[in-house]
Amino acid sequence: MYITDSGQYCLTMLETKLLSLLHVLIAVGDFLRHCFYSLPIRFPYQWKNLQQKADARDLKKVPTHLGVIVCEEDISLPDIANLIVWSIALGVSYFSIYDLNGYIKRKRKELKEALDNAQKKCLDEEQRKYTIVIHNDAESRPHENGCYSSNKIDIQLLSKADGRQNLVETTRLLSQQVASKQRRLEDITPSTVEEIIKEKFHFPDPELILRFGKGECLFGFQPWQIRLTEILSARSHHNLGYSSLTDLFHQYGETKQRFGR
Amino acid sequence: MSWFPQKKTGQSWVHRVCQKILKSGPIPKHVAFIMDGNRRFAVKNHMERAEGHFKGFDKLAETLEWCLDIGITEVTVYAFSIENFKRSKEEVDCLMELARQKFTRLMQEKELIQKHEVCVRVLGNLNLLPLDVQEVIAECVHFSKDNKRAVLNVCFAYTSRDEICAAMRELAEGVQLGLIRDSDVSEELMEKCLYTSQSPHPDLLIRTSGEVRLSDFLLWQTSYSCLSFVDVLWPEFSIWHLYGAVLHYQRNYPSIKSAIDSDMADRIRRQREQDYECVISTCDSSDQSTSSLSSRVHQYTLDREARIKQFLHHVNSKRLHYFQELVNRKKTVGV
Repeated sequence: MYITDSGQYCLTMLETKLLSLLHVLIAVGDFLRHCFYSLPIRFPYQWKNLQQKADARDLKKVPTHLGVIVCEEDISLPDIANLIVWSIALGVSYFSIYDLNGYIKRKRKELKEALDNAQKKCLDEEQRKYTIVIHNDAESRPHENGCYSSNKIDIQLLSKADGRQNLVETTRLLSQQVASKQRRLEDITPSTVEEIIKEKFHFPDPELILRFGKGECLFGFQPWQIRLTEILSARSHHNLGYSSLTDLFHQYGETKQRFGR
Repeated sequence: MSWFPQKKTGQSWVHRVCQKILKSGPIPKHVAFIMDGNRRFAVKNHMERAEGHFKGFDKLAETLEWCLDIGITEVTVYAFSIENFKRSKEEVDCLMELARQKFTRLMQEKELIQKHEVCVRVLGNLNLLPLDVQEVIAECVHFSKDNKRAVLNVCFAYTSRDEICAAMRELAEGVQLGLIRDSDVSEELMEKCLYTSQSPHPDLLIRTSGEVRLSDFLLWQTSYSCLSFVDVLWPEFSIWHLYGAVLHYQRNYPSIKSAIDSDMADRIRRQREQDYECVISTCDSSDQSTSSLSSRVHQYTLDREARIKQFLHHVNSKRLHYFQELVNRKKTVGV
């Protein structure tokens, strides 16, 4: 069959248009699904402590360490603060808050204020028995100061510099140690590397990562630490309700780890 | 079943139309698969575990064909994790037998490999495998190493942490031997020491069976890959699931692309700063003029690149030598 150039061109145009149409349809479908899931009436800022307890009992498991990846241009610290405070109520004690370019890292003070506000809103003063510590690179990490209460919540703010680049630094350190005969080449094993990384970050590996925004991707989040991490996504962290969060935790509760067996 | 299905599996006009439409958008060049769910498939269909694994292999052969049709020229699959050695001896033996059979079969299909110009690479800590499996793997890798049209990477006795540590040992040895300096270590150089050194990073990662984690697979390489978790057991994976994953990739493409571009720019900037710092730290006399400083930085960059080139040559020849030796041993034993 003979197809002219213009015929070929029309065909290509048609294909491109069809693909765009398909993507529009998927986007609409996605949006409708999102609307459907957020249908039940929610009162994000006005729930009782009692309700939290019940929710926490319902959950099959709760991560000790929760990673949050925000891949949205516009980052709302109050919403992140709510997410943290609710998660603490559900039983999370470590947080890694990540955005690619380190915006949140630079807004440490503002996040702290937002957290204080969120805590005031959510819990009675007498029930606020935990202290929140936001760690910076240069600062002391958990365990370092020796005394740590069981009610201490540790938060680290991360950017991509803490990802692959951290492994590069670890390699440099190990190379120096091998060159100066402090360590043997065969001793560079996953457990030694794990030790070195733990020395720097002092956090356990996150069991769950919640990813918000466009781009189903980890965007350079610490590669070494996410070996067994469950990754769940949500559309946006803006106006994230308490029940949307518990939905995600319930979803996490359904996952099973087999550790290769 | 063969690695190259004889008849086109399910290639109807519908598929051709869908492919054409999909191809008018961005298509991932490199796709990684975690082929999860073989055992659950076996249980679900009242089969032996082994049969589930064999079904899984057949699905892989089929999927490779679908990928090529749609323009995906490189595929990486997670065939066997180091953690899988913890499974029952019976199952591990069965998986080794599967590998033995399939790689032997592949070597019987030499003319098909050449016809399709497929390059097969096996990534992992091969020393952990039985010697005869190592040998047949080495033979396949060695035989197909110069093919360019399509690439299949099979991760066998692999975990990502183990891979990263192997790269670290390689680099530490390079520093110890004086081939490179510890300041030469960068993301780019580390990537060249990973098992996947010859491949671009995967654009898309597909995990079947509804699990939503990476399970120690390509942790470094998938930092900027689009993740697609498909809720279907691997032996039930169909061409429509693949199309769905490609659509998913296209939807996420713009945001991921811009993140990758900015990361690349960051790398270049970081390297330039590193070179500058290295020069500054070596020059003690403060009477250097600016122009001579910039020329010294330039000279340093050239020297560093030369060092790295030599080091990488050393690393690659070591790897080639390893496979060559296994192939030679097989020949001498075989005769």
